[in-house]
Amino acid sequence: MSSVEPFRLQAASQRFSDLDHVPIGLAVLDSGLNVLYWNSSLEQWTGIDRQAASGTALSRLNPEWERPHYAQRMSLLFNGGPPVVFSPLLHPKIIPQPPGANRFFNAKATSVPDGEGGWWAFLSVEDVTVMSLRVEELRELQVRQDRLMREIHHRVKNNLNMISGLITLQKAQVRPGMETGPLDDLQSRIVAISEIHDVLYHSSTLSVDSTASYLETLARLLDTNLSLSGKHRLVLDLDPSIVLKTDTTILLGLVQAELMTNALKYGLSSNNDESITIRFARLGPGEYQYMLSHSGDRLPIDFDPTTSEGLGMVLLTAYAGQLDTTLGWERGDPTRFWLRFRE
Amino acid sequence: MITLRSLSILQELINIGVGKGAQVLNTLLNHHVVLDVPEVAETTVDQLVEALGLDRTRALSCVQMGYRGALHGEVQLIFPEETAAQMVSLIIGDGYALEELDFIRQATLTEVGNIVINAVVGTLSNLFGFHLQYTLPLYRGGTLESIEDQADLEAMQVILLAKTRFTIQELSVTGHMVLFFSMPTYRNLEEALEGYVIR
Repeated sequence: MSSVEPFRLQAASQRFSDLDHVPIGLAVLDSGLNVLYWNSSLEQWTGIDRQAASGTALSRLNPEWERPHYAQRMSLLFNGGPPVVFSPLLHPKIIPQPPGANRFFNAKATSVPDGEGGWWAFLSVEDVTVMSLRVEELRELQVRQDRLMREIHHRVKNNLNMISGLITLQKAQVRPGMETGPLDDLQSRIVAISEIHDVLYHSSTLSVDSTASYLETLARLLDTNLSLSGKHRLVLDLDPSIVLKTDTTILLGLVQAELMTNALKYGLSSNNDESITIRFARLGPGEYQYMLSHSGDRLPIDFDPTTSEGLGMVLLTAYAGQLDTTLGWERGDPTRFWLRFRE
Repeated sequence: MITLRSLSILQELINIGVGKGAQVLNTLLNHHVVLDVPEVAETTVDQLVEALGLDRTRALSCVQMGYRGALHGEVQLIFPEETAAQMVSLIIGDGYALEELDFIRQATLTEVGNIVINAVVGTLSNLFGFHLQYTLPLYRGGTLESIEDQADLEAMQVILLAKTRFTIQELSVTGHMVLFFSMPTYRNLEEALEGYVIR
């Protein structure tokens, strides 16, 4: 039995009949959430014809509307209040669907004058099934790709670690008194790249979550692998809030590998009070400084990174160039190297 | 310039509004949701960026709705995009660790924003008897500059900034509710607040 007077149903039906064939679902509701008008798109999507819907409480057509928040939110509309939106993921049953149908709808309700000084609610429902399914497919695809990428990072890291292990074995074969320097240098570079793959493998977003954390792990690894005396201190002052792009972080890691290798091999003496200090800070919005300093003043008299033909310095100059900057340095005690760059 | 008394009443009323919004969210989401507004401040368009304290280059998510009539302006609820993505993920329980919102998740944030904004705007307009016409809520993404570029800022001379804290289960995130007003209609709000009798 309809709780709406027939003349109201007729008036609503006449007033909104032009909206009968628009490709969105439209319903007009009174303040008791009874249906006054139900267009043909809604008939088609719900399987409920207009005659059955007209004058019936929406909650009888669709028990979902018995949930109290619907009436609570819609109540504002009957005082001419602001529009109400119902999103597809939070309201998968916003309109009744025939058995087996699983469509997504985006719905909005707005106030419309009832012609007698009061308000009705105008509920418009848009079928977003195709777009929603496409988004979910893309999301699933992305999850699969992320899983594969993670697997690749894991394998690359393992392979690089294996190469690093082979270099360690090779160094053990070097006869006493022979130079292991080139093998140390090579190993540092491999460790720097391997660590980035480890960071990416463990990151939930497959990107570097903290540049400082990567630089710290790398510094400690290089310190353990290359320390000759083990008597020096490693001081780290790295801003944990800085998150640079992965490519930039890799370049910084490679820079650190070169500078630390040099510091550990040539910069420090065997005194107990020697130290390596690494500072990484934000200078201003989008501007950063990386600095590595070590005790002692042991650079060769004719040292000049711009003309040096050593592979380490050639690489450092190239890395700095990729960061669109140059390598700064200062002779003294401590000896300092730095990069100021923007991202 | 709004008086301290009015600002304090406004903060109280906005808190009542967001409290009602939280009740709706509680029943809708079946999560324990707490909303509060610990700070409300008056500012201008020129000082907005500084007052928000958000990085200009940061990706933001915004739900906005315009109003006309006794008050003329726009209300925006702004979150850093990764925060919004985290909140939506928790709400819909999809388990994805996303940093950005796709179309369907933008719709979820729009609904959450709609609930909060309606509760606040509804509380103010009902209490003061303001008759307003509203635009449909919209999602906007981008940097602060690109979001504000699309707003009709030339007509808006005064801004009220309400820091809004969402606590949903174990997640606590902070958004910014920005209420823009044209000067003549802002006077209506000021007068209503001045005349408001605390019971």
